[in-house]
Amino acid sequence: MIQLEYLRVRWRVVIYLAIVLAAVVLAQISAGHSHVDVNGQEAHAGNIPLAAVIFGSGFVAAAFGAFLASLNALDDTLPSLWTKPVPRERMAISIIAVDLLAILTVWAGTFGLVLVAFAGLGLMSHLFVDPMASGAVWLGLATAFMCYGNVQALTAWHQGKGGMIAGIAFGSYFVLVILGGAPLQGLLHNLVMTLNIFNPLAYLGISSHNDEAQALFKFNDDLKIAIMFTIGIVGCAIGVFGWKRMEI
Amino acid sequence: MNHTIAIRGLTKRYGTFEAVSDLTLEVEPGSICGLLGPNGSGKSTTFKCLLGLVRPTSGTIEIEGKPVDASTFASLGFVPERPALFEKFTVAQHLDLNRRLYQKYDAARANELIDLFKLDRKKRAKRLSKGQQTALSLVLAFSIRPRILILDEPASGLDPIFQRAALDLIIDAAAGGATVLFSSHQIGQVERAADRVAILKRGKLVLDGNVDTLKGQEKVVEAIFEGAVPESNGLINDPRVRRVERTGRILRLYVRGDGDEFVRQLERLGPRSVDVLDLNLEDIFLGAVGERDESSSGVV
Repeated sequence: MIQLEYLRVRWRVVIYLAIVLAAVVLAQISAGHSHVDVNGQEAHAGNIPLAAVIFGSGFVAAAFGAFLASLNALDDTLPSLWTKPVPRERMAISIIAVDLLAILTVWAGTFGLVLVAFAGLGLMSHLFVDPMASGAVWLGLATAFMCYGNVQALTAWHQGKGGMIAGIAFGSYFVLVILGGAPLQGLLHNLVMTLNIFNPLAYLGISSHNDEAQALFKFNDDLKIAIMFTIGIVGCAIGVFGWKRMEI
Repeated sequence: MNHTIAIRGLTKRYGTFEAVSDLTLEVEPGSICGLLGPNGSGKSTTFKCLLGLVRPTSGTIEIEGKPVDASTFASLGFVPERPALFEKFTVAQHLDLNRRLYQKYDAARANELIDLFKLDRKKRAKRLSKGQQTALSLVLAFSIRPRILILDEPASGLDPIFQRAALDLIIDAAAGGATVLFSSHQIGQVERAADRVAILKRGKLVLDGNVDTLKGQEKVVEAIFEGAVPESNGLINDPRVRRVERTGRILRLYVRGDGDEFVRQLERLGPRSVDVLDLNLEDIFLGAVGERDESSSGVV
């Protein structure tokens, strides 16, 4: 099963990293005609926090994870898969393990490519290791894992709709986080805030230079990371349970 | 008696539609049971229930005396109606997956079958023709030296030469002690391979029995006339006549017993020829599902 999922995931990782590489190359070309700003100011030595790069890479991995998720992407082959002498849940866990490794690879690959881009643009000296860097690693991974787990849960009882559901989920994250900050009252506010519990963006804040201040849920980083990983794990467990119970 | 496959009181409903209705079917070790039925009769649903791909609404299913779980598949070869191969895998990678998953995987046997069906080991599954995909599914099912074979249209898309090869594989496996349950729309294949036949119609089992016994229960008395078939009410009303067919100048009586007496009666009507024919499985099938009764205007 690991071999099977590896083949499915391998090309997606390559294509995804190729897109990131293309963006890096484009950045190099366009930078040849302009100067680089950081937070609206011209970049100078020591004003690009490493945490931002790490977290940005995590966000790319989150998008990748969301679209990779769904055990049911394998639906055409289920009659073959489910008649192998391997329990379905073990099969599902193997698949999820390979997917998580792929998400890590995309995260590391994106981070590496961004550093290459920085080197190419002569910005390496502007990077500085800030105290939030190690937290950003975990927050980025938690975001990616939560996105992946959400799609697993949402597709647990569907066949072959992973991509569509991932797209809708990702769009909903942005809508929900905006609604969460809007002056809604009563039941609607409660509903939006409840849904935002499952929204990775609600833990991050996406439009500010100061993420902590703008996050919808203002917990400390450790608690945020714990909640996000827990939701990711529960999502995967629901996905496995749905796969085990599914009929074709 | 120990049954390798035991389906008892199986019912499967999708909403209000009953795909399989109170089906009881038991297959003895080492036998070949052909499951026949028109499209939508519940054959594939029965296979899916049998393999745990769908949950029965009611009833029980046992394979080798226990409910189906992952361990059942260690000695069970399955060919689905539509090949469910891993399209990015090559033929060789499919075999490799089998080698990893099945303790009883027989590489020599797999190679022999790959050569038999002339499959290219380096070709990806999605590049194979429909027939080649069926052939690969057969190779995968037979290469694990299964004790049980569940085959849903195992010769679908194969050319006549490979259809014969597939049939030989089934017969050979049963001769070696495997129990086979298979479906096919090609009644000739079932007649050649199966020693037992079960016929489904609209989810219900309408006939179940040993092929030779079923064939021996009736004879077809066929009379060909020079002109129109004369009136034969006396014959039609005979309780031993199960069915009468008139097609142009041909009169066929499906009768219980040896049919000699009916030959004498028909000869009195002045036919060009009268013959007693053995019933074939197609006759049994069509009789069981009532297809001719519904479609042929020449049937009485």
